[in-house]
Amino acid sequence: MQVFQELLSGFATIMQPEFIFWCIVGIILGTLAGALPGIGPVTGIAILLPITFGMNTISALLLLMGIYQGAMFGGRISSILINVPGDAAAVVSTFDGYPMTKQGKAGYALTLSAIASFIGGMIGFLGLVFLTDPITSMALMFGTPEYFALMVFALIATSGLTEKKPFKPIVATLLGLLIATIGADPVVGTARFTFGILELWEGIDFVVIAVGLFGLSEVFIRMEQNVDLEKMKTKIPFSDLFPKISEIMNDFWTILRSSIVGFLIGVLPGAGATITTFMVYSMEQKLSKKPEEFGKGASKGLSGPEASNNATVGGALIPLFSLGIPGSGTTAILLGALMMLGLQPGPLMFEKSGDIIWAAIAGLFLANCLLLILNTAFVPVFATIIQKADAYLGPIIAALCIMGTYMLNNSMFDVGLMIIFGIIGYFLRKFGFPLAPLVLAVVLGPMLESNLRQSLMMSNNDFTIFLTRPISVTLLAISIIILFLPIIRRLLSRNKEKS
Amino acid sequence: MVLVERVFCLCILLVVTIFFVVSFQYEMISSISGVGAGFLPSITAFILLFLVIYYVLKVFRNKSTSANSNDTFTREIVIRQIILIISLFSCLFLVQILGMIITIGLFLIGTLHFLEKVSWVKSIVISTVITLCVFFLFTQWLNVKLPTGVMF
Repeated sequence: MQVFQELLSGFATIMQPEFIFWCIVGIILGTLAGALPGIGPVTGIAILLPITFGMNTISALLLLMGIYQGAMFGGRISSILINVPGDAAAVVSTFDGYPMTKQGKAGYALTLSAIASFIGGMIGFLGLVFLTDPITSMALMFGTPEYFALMVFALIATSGLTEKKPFKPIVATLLGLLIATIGADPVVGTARFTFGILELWEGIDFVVIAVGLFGLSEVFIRMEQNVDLEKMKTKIPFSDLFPKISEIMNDFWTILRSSIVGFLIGVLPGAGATITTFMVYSMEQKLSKKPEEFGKGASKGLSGPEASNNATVGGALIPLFSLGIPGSGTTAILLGALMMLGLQPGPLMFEKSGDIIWAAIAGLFLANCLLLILNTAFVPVFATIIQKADAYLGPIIAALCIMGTYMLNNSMFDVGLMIIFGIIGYFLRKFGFPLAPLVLAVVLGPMLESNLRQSLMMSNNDFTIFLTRPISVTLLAISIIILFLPIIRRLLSRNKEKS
Repeated sequence: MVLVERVFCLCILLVVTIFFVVSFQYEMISSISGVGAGFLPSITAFILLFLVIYYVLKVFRNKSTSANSNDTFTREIVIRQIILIISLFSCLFLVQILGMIITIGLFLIGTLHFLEKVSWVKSIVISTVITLCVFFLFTQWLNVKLPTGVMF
């Protein structure tokens, strides 16, 4: 009840024209930053942070909340429209979002993902308001062995091992893991596979690989297709731009469970939105009655990951507000921003600065509602632009890939690498290798290795540490079951045939 | 298609073999952290090497494993793709001379006209609009310092 009252007082605080204005500014800037390849939420907030200098605390917090939510929303726009993920978490949105655009359903995909993101954001918000205490204590139970087990589970669950033809997904996963080992090793700093190139010491940035594999390879693929100029002249019927209520209701359970999963994983420091979206995509594919439609424009393949992506926002803010631990790059920058504003995130923050924090939480709700309205209103504009610009999109995508990659580290070396990954991605796609497991392995590889080695340091090189802790042993057991599932299935089907 | 896949799988085999051999330079067991810097790369490269050899054998037995086996690499498309790759790599060098904004503009004009067969006028208009957007968005609004090149 007290929580409810504090939330209401938060709403009462922010319902002033000045605060609402800054929230709107935040979501517009955030959406733009999220949609631009290579920028994403982390860089977006970092770049836009100086705007808050000199502002009053609540205005600054509302602006930051708007940017954070806006960037999470915006990442999907370029994924759906041009197959170039705005940030790492938006990679999954390319799998079914872009095929929808190719089918002339860009407006539908954008609206559906906006609604899914809104619901996800709302569930994240509710979790942040009502579940902060119990979830904080649960998150504290995760040490390095648990994280290692979680990474193993995420890799196995999403690598396609359970598919009918797991060979190519496994090769892609292992290729991703191998690429992830390039650079200084995470414990003692030994340079691996750098071949004397100084720029490789820090490894290859995930965004460089994702933009090359997904964005630039798309340009090569597009060169093989003829653009239908007549189709470009036809007008998209207004009714085709928005999903029907019945279509949203079809995806209702997908959105709901994905949001819950997204929120829970978002709480875990380091797990983040990227892992969540991949896990949710894989989960939905397995739960679907038509898994073969995934990757070809399945609505559940878009709505699930989008909902989970935005639900992580609420989850990620829990350890930040209540423990002062940033769970991701974005929240790390937010932590700095909070401290800059004179707040001290941690167990005492709700007691000392409760009014401000509850205003920020209420701001999260406001940003989410405003984002839904703004994003839906611009859907016809985006859909028309993408239809009319189809013939010119290839070179524009290539130019955006160059710009986005360069901006990441101000490095032309990264651009060169991105071009190489674009060519590799083209051939991998041509020969049926899925790109998703490769990209996920690149993300998880460094975390997997550092958690493995830190766990062994903790246990004096005793591998049984993973079997003596309940959470890690459960996750590893589930992973082993998934690993052997194809063999069990084959045995069962053989027995059936015999009988 | 089969020939291209053969070349592709041999390239992967070569890369994985190099990674496998090089991975032995790093220590497998470390006194500090149990497993050393070479542990994960060696194991990954070892398993991958086996899988890639299997893939190579499969492809060379004329069993194309490609997803779109009906695809063919026509001469015209391949030439266009090679031109795109050359122009992309040319950008890397041109940026240092002309700067990012002008290079992107020239890249857009060139690719739109020669690869997408868009008229000169349209190519120039589209690339000018996009280049201006890039300029204002990145350098003016986001304060990102783009390379200006040695000529400017």
